[in-house]
Amino acid sequence: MSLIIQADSVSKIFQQRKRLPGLSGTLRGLLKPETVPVRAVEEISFAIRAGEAVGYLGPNGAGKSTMIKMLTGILAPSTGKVHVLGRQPVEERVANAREIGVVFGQRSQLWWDLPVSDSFDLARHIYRIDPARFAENRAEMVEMLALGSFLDRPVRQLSLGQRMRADIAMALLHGPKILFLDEPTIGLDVVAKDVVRKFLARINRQRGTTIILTTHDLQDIEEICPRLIMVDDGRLLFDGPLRSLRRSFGARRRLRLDFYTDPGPIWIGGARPVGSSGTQREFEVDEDGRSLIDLISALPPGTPLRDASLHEPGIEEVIRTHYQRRRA
Amino acid sequence: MSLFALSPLAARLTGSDLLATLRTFSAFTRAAARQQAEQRSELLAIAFGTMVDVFARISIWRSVYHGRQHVAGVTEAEMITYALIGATLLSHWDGALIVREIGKAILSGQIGATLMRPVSFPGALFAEQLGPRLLQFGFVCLPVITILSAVYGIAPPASLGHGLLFLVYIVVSTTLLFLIAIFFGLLSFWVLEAHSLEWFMRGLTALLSGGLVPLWFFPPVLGTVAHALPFAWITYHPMACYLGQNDLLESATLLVGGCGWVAALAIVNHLLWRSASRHVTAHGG
Ligand SMILES: Nc1ncnc2c1ncn2[C@@H]1O[C@H](COP(=O)(O)OP(=O)(O)OP(=O)(O)O)[C@@H](O)[C@H]1O
Ligand SMILES: [Mg+2]
Repeated sequence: MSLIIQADSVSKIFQQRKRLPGLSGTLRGLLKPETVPVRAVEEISFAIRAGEAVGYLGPNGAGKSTMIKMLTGILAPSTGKVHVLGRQPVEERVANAREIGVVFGQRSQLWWDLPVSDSFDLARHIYRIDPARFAENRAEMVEMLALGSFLDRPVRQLSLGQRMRADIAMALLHGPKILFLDEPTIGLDVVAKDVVRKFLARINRQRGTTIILTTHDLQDIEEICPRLIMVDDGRLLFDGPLRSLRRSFGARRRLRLDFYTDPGPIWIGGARPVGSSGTQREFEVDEDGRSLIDLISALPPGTPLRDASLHEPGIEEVIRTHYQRRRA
Repeated sequence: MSLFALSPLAARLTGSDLLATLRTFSAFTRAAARQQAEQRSELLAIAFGTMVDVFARISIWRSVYHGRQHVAGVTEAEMITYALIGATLLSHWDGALIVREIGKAILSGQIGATLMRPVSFPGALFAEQLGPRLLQFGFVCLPVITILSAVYGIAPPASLGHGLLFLVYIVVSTTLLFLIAIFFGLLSFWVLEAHSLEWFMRGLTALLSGGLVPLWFFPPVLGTVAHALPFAWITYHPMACYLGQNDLLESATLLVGGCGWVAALAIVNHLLWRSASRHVTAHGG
């Protein structure tokens, strides 16, 4: 397995035009525009092997789309380097574009007024796909994504879910080694999301197509991507398997104890009291591998315990807590 | 890259590569033409607008001549032919719209959709513009010429040779107009106000191409300068050839000059695009 995508300390700084208030400000802005630098991506490094499926997660404005644009050759990094299949995408944009597929969920690649099948035919010429291979690939896509019923319809008449499926199919017609998707499930209903997720997971596993997708929806990642890269405010927060995110963020389990009568103050080693009400006590427990039984046995003998539970925070909750802490 | 890239690196191409490139180009052109054909009402509106435009031009020239045989050595019949063919086959296409398209594509981020395909950006733009253009040749320009020439008459080309050269001039005219538009369009990577570029180009083209007023009516100094600028090959030089203002050799020499401008602008655009793509800022998304 070889590295097919590499980002080495990549940063992208946009110069945003500053709008000055008032008429004099407008005039000054015309003559000598002032700009403020926006650090969309800051010093991000990662490497992706052939055949991986990676989810790129982060809140609005985290720099996800910017990173995808740098990997697909649409934007040049300000500093640092990206390599895709051994090339620098901006320098060798056309060669790079031939071997990758790109889907921007918010923007269609299809010809608006023409039937879907016309866009597919155009893709055959653009990517110089061998006719036999094209026919085979196209039939497979039509079958797997159930495009048959609307292939002859102009794109402007399609529902968002149909359009997205057609867009994904088009990005795969030339059999790219890597598929980049920027928010492929945005705006889709539950059923359509499910179709897209199952399809992408299948393409990744059966064809070995490397997949990188950005999303706000954690479920996309749970179902498609064994590996998660998380960014916030341009910076890399986490890179690893989804299941180790919890530990990496130092998310603590919650211990909840219910007593028959008010037990008074209670201390347990390695657990921090975080709340009490009447006969209930709550603790945050260090990730030291102790089980619920271990924790209960640490209570002083004779405490009137009625019930106990140890709660693992969901990934979503871990991330939410993290963002909230950051914003505070 | 290739002819498709309109770049000087054609030497690197092999024959089959060139063929594939041309096939891509024509596929783009056909798709764009089909897209235009979908908008029948727009096509009809363009035909009507062109009709009115050409009619107005002819009326103006008829009142200018008003009984006179010659103005600046040109007959009324020749002037009507100039207006009729010039305003349809040569300067019918508002090339400045490309500038607007590029500006819009940059601001909306739609440029990304073009950039992630393995095609040259200027090449794809040209192919996309050529589609509707060819369709309009057939469904707008030819009908308008037929109808109005039935009413006002039309002068034939000065000679068979002039007529054949004129056909090549049409190709050079279309290509140059496109290259000039791309030139201004690419400037909008640096100047974010594509609008001002659009109007700047529209003004320069209207004046210097001879689309409105033939260069032979220009004051001497401006006329001499305008003769040499690439704009003149959009309408003036082709029409001068058609009407036999110059002998065949001179017309052919001027045609070579036009091809020189095509090559020069293609190189300039290629360099501009190379430097633009390095600091493309695709907005949105
Ligand atoms: N062309 C641009 N000029 C100036 N600033 C930009 C430009 N494009 C993006 N930015 C800024 O860069 C930052 C990152 O934007 P980006 O689009 O990469 O975020 P994102 O993670 O994709 O967000 P979202 O989830 O909302 O799509 C934002 O602060 C944005 O305002
Ligand atoms: Mg985005």
